[in-house]
Amino acid sequence: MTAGEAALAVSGLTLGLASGHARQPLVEDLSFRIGRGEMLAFVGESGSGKSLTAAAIFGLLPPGIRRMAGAIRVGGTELTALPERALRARRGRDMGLVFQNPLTALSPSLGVQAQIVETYRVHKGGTREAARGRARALLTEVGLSALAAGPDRYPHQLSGGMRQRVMIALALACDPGLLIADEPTTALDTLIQVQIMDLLTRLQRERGLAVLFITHDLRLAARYADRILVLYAGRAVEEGDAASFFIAPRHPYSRALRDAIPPVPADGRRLAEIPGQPPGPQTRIEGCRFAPRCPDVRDDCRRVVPTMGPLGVRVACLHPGAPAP
Amino acid sequence: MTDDRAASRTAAPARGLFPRARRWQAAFGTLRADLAGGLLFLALAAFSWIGPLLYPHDPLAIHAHHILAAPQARFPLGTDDLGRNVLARLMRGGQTTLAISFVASAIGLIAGLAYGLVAGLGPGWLDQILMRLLDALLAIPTLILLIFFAAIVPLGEASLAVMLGLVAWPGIARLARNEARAARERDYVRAARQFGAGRLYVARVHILRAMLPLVIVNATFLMADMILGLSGLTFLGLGIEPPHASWGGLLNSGAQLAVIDPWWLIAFPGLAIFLAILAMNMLGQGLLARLEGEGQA
Amino acid sequence: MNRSGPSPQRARQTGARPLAAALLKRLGSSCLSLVLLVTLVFFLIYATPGGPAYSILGVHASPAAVAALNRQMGLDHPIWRQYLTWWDHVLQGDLGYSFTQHAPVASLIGSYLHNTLLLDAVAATAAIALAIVLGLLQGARSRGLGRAIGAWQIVGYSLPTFFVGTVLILVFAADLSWLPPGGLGEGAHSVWSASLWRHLALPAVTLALPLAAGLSRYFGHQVRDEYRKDYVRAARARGLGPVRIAFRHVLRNAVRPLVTLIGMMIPVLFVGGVLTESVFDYPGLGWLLWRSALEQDYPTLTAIVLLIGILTILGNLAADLINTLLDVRVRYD
Repeated sequence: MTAGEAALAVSGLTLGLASGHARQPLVEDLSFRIGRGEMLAFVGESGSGKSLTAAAIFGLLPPGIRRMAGAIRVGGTELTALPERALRARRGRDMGLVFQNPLTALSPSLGVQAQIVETYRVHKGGTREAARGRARALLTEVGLSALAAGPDRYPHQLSGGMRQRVMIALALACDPGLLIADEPTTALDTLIQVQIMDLLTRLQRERGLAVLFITHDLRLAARYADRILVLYAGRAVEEGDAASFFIAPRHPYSRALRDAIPPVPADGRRLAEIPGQPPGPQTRIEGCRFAPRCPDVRDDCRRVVPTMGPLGVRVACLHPGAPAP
Repeated sequence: MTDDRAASRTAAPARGLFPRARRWQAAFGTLRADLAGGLLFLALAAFSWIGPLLYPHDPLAIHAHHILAAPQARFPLGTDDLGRNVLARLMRGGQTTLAISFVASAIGLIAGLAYGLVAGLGPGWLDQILMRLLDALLAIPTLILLIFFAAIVPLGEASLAVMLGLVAWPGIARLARNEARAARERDYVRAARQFGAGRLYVARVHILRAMLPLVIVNATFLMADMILGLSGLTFLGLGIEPPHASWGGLLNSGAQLAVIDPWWLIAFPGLAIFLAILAMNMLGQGLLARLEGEGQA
Repeated sequence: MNRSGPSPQRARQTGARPLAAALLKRLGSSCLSLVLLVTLVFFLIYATPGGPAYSILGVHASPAAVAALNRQMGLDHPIWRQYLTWWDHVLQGDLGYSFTQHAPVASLIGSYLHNTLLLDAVAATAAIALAIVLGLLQGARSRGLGRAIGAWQIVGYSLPTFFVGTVLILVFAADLSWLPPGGLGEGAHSVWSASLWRHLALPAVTLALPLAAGLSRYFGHQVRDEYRKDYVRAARARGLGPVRIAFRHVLRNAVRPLVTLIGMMIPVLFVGGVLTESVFDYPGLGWLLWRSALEQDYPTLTAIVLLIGILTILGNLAADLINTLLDVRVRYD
């Protein structure tokens, strides 16, 4: 795979507080890429920098947080060099964003079709009628044919699952090549969760969509994504093939994450938990950031910052476990 | 990869264009609105009560040769159409304005609290009656009611304060009633009632204490309203009989001469009223912001 | 949040009944307020020291003259009978006879009310427009401009109307002679007359200023809350521009509370109106109230107080109804 082909390529992304002195960056030296038709899952606890990365890709970092370094290429275009106006033209057109809670993320007093029409016409122009036809087609595609045929509805008139489908249709209004789904199922029932994830993977396949799936749920990631990238305290600790990753994670943190997944092991052992808390942005840690909580910690872990190896051996640990057989 | 590197360099942390301006803004931001308002109000009170000690001139003395004199060394704020010293009159008028407004606010506060607590803590039917009555009262704006009373009843300074206070209480009453209703449902109040604490005891110890901060904030707004109401009333030539005058009355006598442009008769009393109201509003807003835990007013 | 909501059809059916009930209840409470208001004004008249006879004849009238007038006006009747008579008069629109203007109060009030409504409409429109622009700006920018607007708001509603009005007369009428110092001129009958607008300009600005300050403050807070919500971030992520987000998305959601505030504006308009109209000698209801207070024209005074009370109650009712309907359009449509 060459650089030009990746739908999303992030390299050396570092995010930090704009007014900080010598504090730890919130995201440090993060690099990854997603090809067309591929789903990459970001897995990590809250505060590990998952959503912040998504915000950085869209150029919508919250006030007070700034990109210190790094490059972001979407569909071959370097976004960080673009002025705000040009960047705005690409949001929604080249990349779509799906939020965790569709009830709050949909504009509350505007019909959902009207919102799709609006987004389409802002980027592609055209007549209202054409945009409306486009909105109906999209709603049908995400499985809301009844909504597509009937009169326009407000978001609060829909169920949670329907809202999230609308949110996805809205993100796809202009046929973007990249979709970022930030915890898209966390606010939903388990049953609806599965439906939404099935929808996402179907769209990914049918449209050749690159999907960045952000979640804290390792199981969902393993089941639906092609590859998994584990984040810990703002750093990537391991990246790998979803299937093999789940069987044999190499980084101690990834292993701990996997072992903390219910159900309780049949042999009567307790569900594993990771002792301690992830460090906040104020705490400065030398060496590996997971070292204070790592069961396999050794002396050099506290001195040397581990980095990801070259492609193929993607684990940021000085003493990783055995690779998958 | 090389262009990636180039892009990452463009994101070097940018310094503000005007670092000094930012520092000034930061310093100004720390000046609290409530503190500034409080100090401003103290300054106005000092002007009214301590001022006459430092500048002992009779506000009623008529200087027949200095009618409508512009501000000058002898009359720092000029004289009015009868040749009276405007600075001295402004000080005396400040005493009248601030004292009446203060007493009126106190009366309104106490009356409103009492009414609101009775409605809020009493049985449901009483609450309904009292609240509907309050709605009807609130339908007549304060100043209109004041004008109505002032037209019927001949007023002295004391009765004016009482009347202002009696007109002002419905706002506080509604606030106290709503707070009391809300507080009643809180767990610790229920608990106290379960343990056999009397109605009055609960009202005094728990509910009144819970609503006190909000009541204080609204009392400052009430004071601003009273200054405005009193000034408005006296500006209309009602309420206080000449020769004494509040700030509103002084402004009125200036406004009647507006066509011949005695700016000092308008600017100084007008500014005094404005500053007094501004002081109370800033104090109230600042306290409210502090109460809401918001960083800035 | 997770449960699948009721189908829109069902929501509409179940929504209709509580809506009707809510509207009826609101209507009933307004009627009750009106009844209480009429009663209150009755007591204001009859329970005040001196009574109306003194007000008509003057404080120094002889007791015999007062007694005669009282008999003539039915004031020697028992109070319940006077109360019923009062209601009878109110319902028939018979608000008494003005002894100073030598005309029935009801016919007197008409033209003054017209002028007041004209001034209020102009001032309120200007104030709302200004408040929406300032509120949107303030909500979108928390520092710099937002702070400047915040400071202006405190100053704006701390400035007494009568001071602003006097200063405006001083500057624009006395010093610059650009605009008339007061009155309404001859053009009151046509909206297209330049003279009318020249006479309206200063009073309208005076009246609109504190109103805009207060409204924009509430509105600005509302807008700021809206800007913190997810849907604004989502709209940005879809590539919508700031102007579109402000007017098409944020304004839509922030504007509904503003309708209630517009109801609350009515008393402010009347109070500001009395002072503004007095400053500018503008022949409106407030001016008439002021004159009749100074001249102790009792029936006129009562009638205006009653009228203002009724208009306030009706205004609040209208605001509430509009608000409910806006809400319904979104919720049950």
